[in-house]
Amino acid sequence: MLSDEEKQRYSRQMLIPGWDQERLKQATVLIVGLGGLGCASTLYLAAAGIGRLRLCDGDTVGRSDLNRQTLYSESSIGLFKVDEAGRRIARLNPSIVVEKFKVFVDSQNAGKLAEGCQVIVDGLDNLESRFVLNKESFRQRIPFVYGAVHGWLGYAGVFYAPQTACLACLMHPDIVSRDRVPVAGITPGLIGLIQASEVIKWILGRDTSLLGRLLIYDGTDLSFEIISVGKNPACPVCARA
Amino acid sequence: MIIFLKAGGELRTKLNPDVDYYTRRVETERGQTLRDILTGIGINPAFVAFAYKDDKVVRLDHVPVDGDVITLQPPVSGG
Amino acid sequence: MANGLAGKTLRIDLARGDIRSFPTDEGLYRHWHGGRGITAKILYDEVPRDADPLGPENILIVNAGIMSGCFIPAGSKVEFGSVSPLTNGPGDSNMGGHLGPALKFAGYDMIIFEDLSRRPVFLFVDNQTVELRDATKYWGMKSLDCEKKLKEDLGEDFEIATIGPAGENGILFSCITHDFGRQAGRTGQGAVMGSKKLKAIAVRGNKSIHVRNLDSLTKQVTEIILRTKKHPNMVPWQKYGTAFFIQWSNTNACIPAYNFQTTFYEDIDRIDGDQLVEKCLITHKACFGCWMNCGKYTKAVIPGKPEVHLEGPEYETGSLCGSNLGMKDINHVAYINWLLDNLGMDSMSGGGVIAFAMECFERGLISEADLEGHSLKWGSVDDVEHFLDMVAHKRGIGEWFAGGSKRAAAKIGRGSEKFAMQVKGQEMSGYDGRWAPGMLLSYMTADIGAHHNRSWTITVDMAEGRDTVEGRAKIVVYLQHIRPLFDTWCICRLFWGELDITPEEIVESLNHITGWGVSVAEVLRTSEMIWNLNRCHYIERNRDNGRSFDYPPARAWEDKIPSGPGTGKGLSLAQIDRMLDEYYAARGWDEKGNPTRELLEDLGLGYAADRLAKAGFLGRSIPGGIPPVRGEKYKPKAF
Repeated sequence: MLSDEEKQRYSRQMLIPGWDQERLKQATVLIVGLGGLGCASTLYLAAAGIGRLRLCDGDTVGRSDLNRQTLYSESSIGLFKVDEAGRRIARLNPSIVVEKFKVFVDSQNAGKLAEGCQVIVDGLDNLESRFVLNKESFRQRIPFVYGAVHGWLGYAGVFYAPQTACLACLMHPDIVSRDRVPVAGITPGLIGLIQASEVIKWILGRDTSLLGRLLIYDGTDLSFEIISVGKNPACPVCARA
Repeated sequence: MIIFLKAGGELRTKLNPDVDYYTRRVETERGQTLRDILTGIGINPAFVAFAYKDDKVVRLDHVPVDGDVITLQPPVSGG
Repeated sequence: MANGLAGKTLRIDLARGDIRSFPTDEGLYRHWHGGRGITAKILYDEVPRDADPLGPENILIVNAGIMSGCFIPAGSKVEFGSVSPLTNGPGDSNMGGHLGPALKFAGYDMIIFEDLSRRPVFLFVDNQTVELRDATKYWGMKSLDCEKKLKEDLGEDFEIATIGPAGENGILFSCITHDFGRQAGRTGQGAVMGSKKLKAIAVRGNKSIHVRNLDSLTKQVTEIILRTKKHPNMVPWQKYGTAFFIQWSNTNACIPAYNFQTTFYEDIDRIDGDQLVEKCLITHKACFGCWMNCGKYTKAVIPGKPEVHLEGPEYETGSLCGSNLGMKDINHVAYINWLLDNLGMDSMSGGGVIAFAMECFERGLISEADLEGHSLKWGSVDDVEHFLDMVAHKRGIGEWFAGGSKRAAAKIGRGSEKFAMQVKGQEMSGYDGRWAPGMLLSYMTADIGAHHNRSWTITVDMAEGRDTVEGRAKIVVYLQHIRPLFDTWCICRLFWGELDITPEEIVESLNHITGWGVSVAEVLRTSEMIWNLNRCHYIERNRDNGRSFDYPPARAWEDKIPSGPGTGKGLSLAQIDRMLDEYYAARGWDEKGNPTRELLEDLGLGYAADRLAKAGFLGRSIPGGIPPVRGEKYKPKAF
């Protein structure tokens, strides 16, 4: 049940036909990685009223994060990201329950982290961990809202195998990726918000535009392309027999 | 036969576009896979995360036909 | 967008009201070809083996196939699939009309309904607008009345599929009705829809479907159109629809009469195709893209009763609700057809259940006291009307019959199991198999119980010998591969099968649409794959060797045909066993009727072998190995 304050807080979005604020309040969303992507998606999911946010990141805030990781400030430097993010959310929306996990996701802890969540949101900064989350998404049948950035380029998609392709249908784990990735702050901001939008639509039971699709954003020419990702019949993760 | 390759992000530099800002015209043998073609023009397939044609992902073992326009996208792993 | 496909699949969680659209999985279609192939695969993967077919874990799939709506002849079908409450195995049923194409024109290849709604709803699809709407005011309405009302409320151009009170009340042989007379009749799909409180599906669409080689397809189809219009079979098909079989079936001693007690009906002249055309016909009716217009829109006029309009009766209803019930007036047969359609019951199982009940009444196993003071005599349309009302509302012993004749016989006992004319819980089609061994074998081994659509062999039996069983099995296997392909592609078998269009031509059309470049051998293999997956699923669900489910009722071997051209004919149990042995060997199954690992792996179904092994029913290896090709090619004579 929504309190009077909640009704007031969410009154503008509740004007949207088909909006079910109670469903958002009952939802639990896992966000893994609180860098540029995770900050953007977390902030807007908290603002929208997702009832429980499960935040996972083992990292602390560094000064080089501040061009894009907008939940933090100068005073956050050296502090754990999950703590700082939790504090910021509490100030924005005290009704949100925040679960904090000061860990880096791996194949040992992914199952427990994802258990009971409606959606897994990608805020990671490396491919290996993304494939771990992808596998867990398939195993537990939880949609995986993928996002990734590099410079002005960003990708976003929603994978929900076996009904759709999974990340491993799209990319092979052996592809080359870099450790220190160039990022214009706007890029993860934009992609993170697109991820948040897809999460909200999923929880509301509406069509998610990127289900089984990939958005390719290129900020250099402001191009947005959406392509469809077919299932790989030989996918090592989700191939139907 | 002739195919056209486009590339996004940093791959564009490796591609050496010659038709426009994005696109390179490639003359190739029929029956070659995309992987073979990339190797043939000096692009390591490991630098291609995925490719797509007509808004649908194609794998690197896809065999293009004459006139195909295929876009290559680089790995993107930041967050 | 893939060729032949609309591009989107809808998954609808009826409990939560979630409607999600996914890109259609093209790989799934390439491997399983759509329609019944995809329903088989999805049911196998997603429905737990102990799921209650009327419970939340069952799913209802509506699949429009890959050829439906592609402007080829009779590209009209849509396939419904779910775990059948009637047979407790993978069930599917297809329907003509216009719903399949409409769904594709709206942009959707498939709809999957999950869980159960808490309140009555109907699905509204108008191109990209998809909504679950309140169906409270339609709940309780009869099928034909409901379709009419929905068209009034939404628009004439909506294609509607509904259930009737039977589906709402969980009658296990309930059907789904569309276009005022087309049904997805078999396997109780209407009951599954009713369990989900899904009253109807309403679709309107105006997009187009892309095909790979439109010029080649158009050229081929034009030639087929011109050729088939001149085919000698076209005239009787257009005039009578399948009702012209009524006389033929009687003359050839395979029509069921008085609950399959005999195979010759003295009063056939009162209920045949000529009677239908002369006394009942209003107009001919066609499905999408078909000019065979085998549908007959008719009226039933009985003094003292309101005039009713319906589509039918076609052969199956005409026989199972005609000679099988001792009816002596085509209007009575049509009226019973209308009752069943409007209540939303499969007229084939309906006819079988009524006939079984009539024989029970004749033998004194049920009485007027059980029937609320009514009788249930052969030939009485009033008795049938009252009985059906009891069944549809599960009143008194109506509840016994609501589960089909097998379950009713289990309740009644006293030897009634012998003449509950069903296999695996589904009632027989309108052909008696005692003098048509291949037909009997077809009933015994069909994956959905005693249904002829998988394999129909009357002319095969006539050509190869009605008194012998040897050699019939391989032909049945072949037919069980080729006939269900039409349900996989969602095109009408009647048009393509009865007008001498070859399998090569049909596959050519498929290739023009999809660009797959497949051969006839390959599509037969796909069909075999589907068949075996369903077999594995059935065995796992029912937890016994396949053979234990493959026997007909004892009438099939204990009662010789007592009258007509087939007098004295019938098979022995030894012959039935021999047919089964031959069938299993032809299939690459062991003597217990269980698929073997060698066969399943040959078909790429190694995972199904693993599951079957875990369940304890994997077939033993066959000495000498499995046959390299299963099924012997045979073209039954068309009419």
